[in-house]
Amino acid sequence: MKPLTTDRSVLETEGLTKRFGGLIAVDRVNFSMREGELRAIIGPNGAGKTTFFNLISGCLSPSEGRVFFKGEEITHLPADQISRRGIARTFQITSIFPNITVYENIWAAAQTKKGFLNPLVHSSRLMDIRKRVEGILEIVGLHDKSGEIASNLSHGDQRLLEIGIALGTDPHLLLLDEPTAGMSVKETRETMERVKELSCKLSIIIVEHDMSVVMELADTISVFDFGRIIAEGPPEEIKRDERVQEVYLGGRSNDSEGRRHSHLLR
Amino acid sequence: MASLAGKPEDRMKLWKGERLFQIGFAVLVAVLVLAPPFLRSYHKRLLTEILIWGLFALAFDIIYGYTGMLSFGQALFFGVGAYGMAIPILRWDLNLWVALLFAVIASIAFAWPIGYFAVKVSGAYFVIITIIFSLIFFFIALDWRWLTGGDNGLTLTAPSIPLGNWKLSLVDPLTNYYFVLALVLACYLITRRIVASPLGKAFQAIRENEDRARVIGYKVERFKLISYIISGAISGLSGALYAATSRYANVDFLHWTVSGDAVVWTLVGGAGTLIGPMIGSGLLIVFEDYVSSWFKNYPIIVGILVIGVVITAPQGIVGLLRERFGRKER
Repeated sequence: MKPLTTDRSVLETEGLTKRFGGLIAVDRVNFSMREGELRAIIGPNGAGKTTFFNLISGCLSPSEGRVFFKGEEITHLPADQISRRGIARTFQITSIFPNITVYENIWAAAQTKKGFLNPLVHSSRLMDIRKRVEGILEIVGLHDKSGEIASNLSHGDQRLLEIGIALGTDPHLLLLDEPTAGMSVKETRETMERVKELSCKLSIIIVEHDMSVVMELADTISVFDFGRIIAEGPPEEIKRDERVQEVYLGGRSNDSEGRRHSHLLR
Repeated sequence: MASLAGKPEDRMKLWKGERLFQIGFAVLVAVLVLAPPFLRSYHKRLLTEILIWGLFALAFDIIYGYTGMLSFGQALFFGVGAYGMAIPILRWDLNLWVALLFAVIASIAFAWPIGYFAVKVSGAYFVIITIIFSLIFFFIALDWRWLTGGDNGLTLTAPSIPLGNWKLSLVDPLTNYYFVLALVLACYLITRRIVASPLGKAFQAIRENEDRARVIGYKVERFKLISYIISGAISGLSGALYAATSRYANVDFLHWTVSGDAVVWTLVGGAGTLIGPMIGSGLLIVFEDYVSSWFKNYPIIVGILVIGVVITAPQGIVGLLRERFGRKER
């Protein structure tokens, strides 16, 4: 495990645990990440990756352990407060605002940091938010679809809007939960390009099922299995790691899971 | 807003839709201002009532059409507003403006604590809790005859409006009409601004996806409560106007069927459009008035009509027009 660089740390967890009845979804995870890093979290289905995101973003409350964001404790804070502090997330299953336009979707996210939402000013007069929304439309490449109702977008575009909404909150740390799920190969490549560009400006954690997607992209990869981090390091190292190969290529007594995922490790 | 639509033809459609809406609205306002002096007294009264019920439906549209919370207890605030108007005038001999203010404050005083508990639940539970609250106060109002007059209600003499040195009496149906029109129009314009404001955008985000709204930083319960209070205050104002116009306040105003009317008018007119619920209430009240003159069991026909509209145009009349003529930016 990497030594903690507390002064520049953006996210840290201490013994983070989540139990659902008898099931331990996240098991005493000590995670740490520096400012500006692009981190990938990989692991087979049910390894606890999404639960880990839910704990950090406040969507779930941890059973044990603590979470620190930029040195401040955020454990047990409600999701809306965590968002306003600067952690944004996307969802594995697209979660957008279906019956309003693409523009309004991102707008909704872009105004939440304003402490007071003035009920007597017309939204179109708020030039600072307008500029931000337009900038984000440009980044996610939905500028020519800004007037469309979100539910009419293609699946790939809805995935991009999902990222756009998260960016709308102007985060320091962006949590991407399988952003390319269900995308075509071309869309996946384009989206990863966009993520790469974004990583120059903010810290990103990307959860991926498919290791090859993040191989070239990530600075560091953390591998989850059964709710624990079983390996962590630069992509090349992770690829060679025995325990990782075991998880992905199947060295377990019950290795159907491993074999199913062997194609993901290339 | 040019930045809203990408393709030029979309922008054109949007612009045209917006223009059509503005022209239609101007014509409607012109008719409402100019026509009444030429109407018979009965029709002046009818039009006054339509405006008041339209305001009540508009209040419901804020909570349901914009924030996505199906409150089935808005009659409570209508009733509180009506008694909030009647009691100060009858018992304390206060003037109309003070009574009006009292009525609105009274409905906020009810909406705030009730909303505080009601917004903690959503979906069907919210519907049920709002019905229960309104039922509780319906029975309390029925029981407290010393305050509400029970079944008989309270009857007022026509209040007059003090305006500077002279007084306008609401005995005259035309004065009464313009008084109501001015307040309803003002409320409509203010709420139209609210729904286009950052606050209104927050309401709509919550309507569209509550969980996502929370994750992007909205304190969902707080905004739901604000929406509930705004809706309650406007419902109260409409109740107050109804009491001033009909010169009585009755326990029946708190009955759940009154809440149901707002739901039906809003669905027919188009939820989430503000003007739709007002148009819906106008059309249905006129229709009811017409059918009831020759058919005793008129609710059957009204019911069939409503079912027909809701099936053929689930987005309501205004929603249908909006789709047809380009979507108005909200």
